[in-house]
Amino acid sequence: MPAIFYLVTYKKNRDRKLRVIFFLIIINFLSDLYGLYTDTHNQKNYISYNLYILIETFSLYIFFYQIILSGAVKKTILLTIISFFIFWLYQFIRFGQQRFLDECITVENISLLAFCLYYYIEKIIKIDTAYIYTEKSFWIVTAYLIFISGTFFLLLYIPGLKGQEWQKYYVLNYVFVIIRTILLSIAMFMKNNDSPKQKFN
Amino acid sequence: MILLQSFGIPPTLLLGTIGMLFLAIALIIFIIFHQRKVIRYQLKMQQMEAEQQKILLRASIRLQEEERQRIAADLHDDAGPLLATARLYLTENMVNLDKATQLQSIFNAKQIIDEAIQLIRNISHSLMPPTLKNFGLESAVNDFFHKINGSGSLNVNCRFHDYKVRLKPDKELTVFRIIQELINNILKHSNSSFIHLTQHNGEDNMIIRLHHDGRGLNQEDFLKMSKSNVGLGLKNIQSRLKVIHGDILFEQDPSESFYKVTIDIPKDYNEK
Repeated sequence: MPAIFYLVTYKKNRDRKLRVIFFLIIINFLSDLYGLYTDTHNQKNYISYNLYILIETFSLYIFFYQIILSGAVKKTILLTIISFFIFWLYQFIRFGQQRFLDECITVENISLLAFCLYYYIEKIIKIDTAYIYTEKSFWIVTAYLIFISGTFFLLLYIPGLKGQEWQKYYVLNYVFVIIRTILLSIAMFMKNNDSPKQKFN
Repeated sequence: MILLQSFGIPPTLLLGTIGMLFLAIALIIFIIFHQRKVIRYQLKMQQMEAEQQKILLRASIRLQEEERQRIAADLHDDAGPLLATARLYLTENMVNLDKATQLQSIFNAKQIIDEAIQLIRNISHSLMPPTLKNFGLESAVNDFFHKINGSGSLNVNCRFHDYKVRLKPDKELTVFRIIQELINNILKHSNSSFIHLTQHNGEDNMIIRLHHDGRGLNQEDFLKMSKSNVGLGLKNIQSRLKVIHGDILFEQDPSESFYKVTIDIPKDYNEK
């Protein structure tokens, strides 16, 4: 749905930040399709999901790199990208074909949570006359903040479960995926706030 | 919650999720409301500042108009009749008069013209004091204070500690006008018995401080009056200070025996 909205409003909203999210949504869609295919054919799809984790994390890190203004935090994001890649590679080589890389998801969620919080803090410190909710980036960050907060406990809980037991709790994940989709759709559909912003001292 | 529990989700997981979600939503709501509040406050401040600017602009226009009217009145009421009288003495008829009357007429006309010259000089001096132009702020203030002391009604003195490098001429004039306005206010409203002015040099600024023992203002009164429709003089002080990027502080001495006015004037590179 957000991808359709993006394509519909593409002429009006040619924003580089949105391209990253659009790319992520497409990859997510393809990954889900592939997951569905492997599930119906009783094949394991750990590699594709683990690769998706890497792409998702990188895309979101790049998105935050684009929307955050502070130079120091931008450098921290670059450092996090490198660190995360090394960590993911290490985990992938060891367990990439045997299971989901829960540790990577936890690291991803914690770091993204931190960037979301910093984004909000920056919006409070560096105030302009535009209200925060008139910006697309706010809705995208909110979508991921709510998704990450909502599924955080679930992801901590799952590794302790046996066999396919985790699947019955996955309804929670679907609820938050729907919420995230709605919020991303709002971000994609809303008018671009291009009005010149006046900075307060 | 009951619906989700019916899917067999354990309460710990459910509570944890709801807790996290609640925190996230609370954070987002807080950010939105806080930002709205700050933006509204900033806009209100900007509006007030713009209003203040308007008041200052109006005050300075009014001051300019009053100054023009005063000059016009001086020229029209004093210089005009003087020159007209001089003209009367110097009519063509004068050639028919006897020599003694002619000389008397020329003498009278000369006296009237001298008076007119003096009058125009006074007007010119009131626009730009020659002492200030030729000898600087210290001499101009000394001169001004000397005239006030001459009235004998109160004791006025000043002390410039370090004024070797003069401020730029237009800045000097602005500072002098501010001092004049403050002294006029003290003379009109404070009923004080002494006024003491001191000047000190900082690294990047010059400090001028006035002390007097009469009724005075504190900063709050000053700000209130300069924002209201009364206090044209105070508004002029403020608009002049704005031009030179200066600051002013009105305060009462802790001993409550006298009032202080401190003017902080930033210096340019070549004024240091």
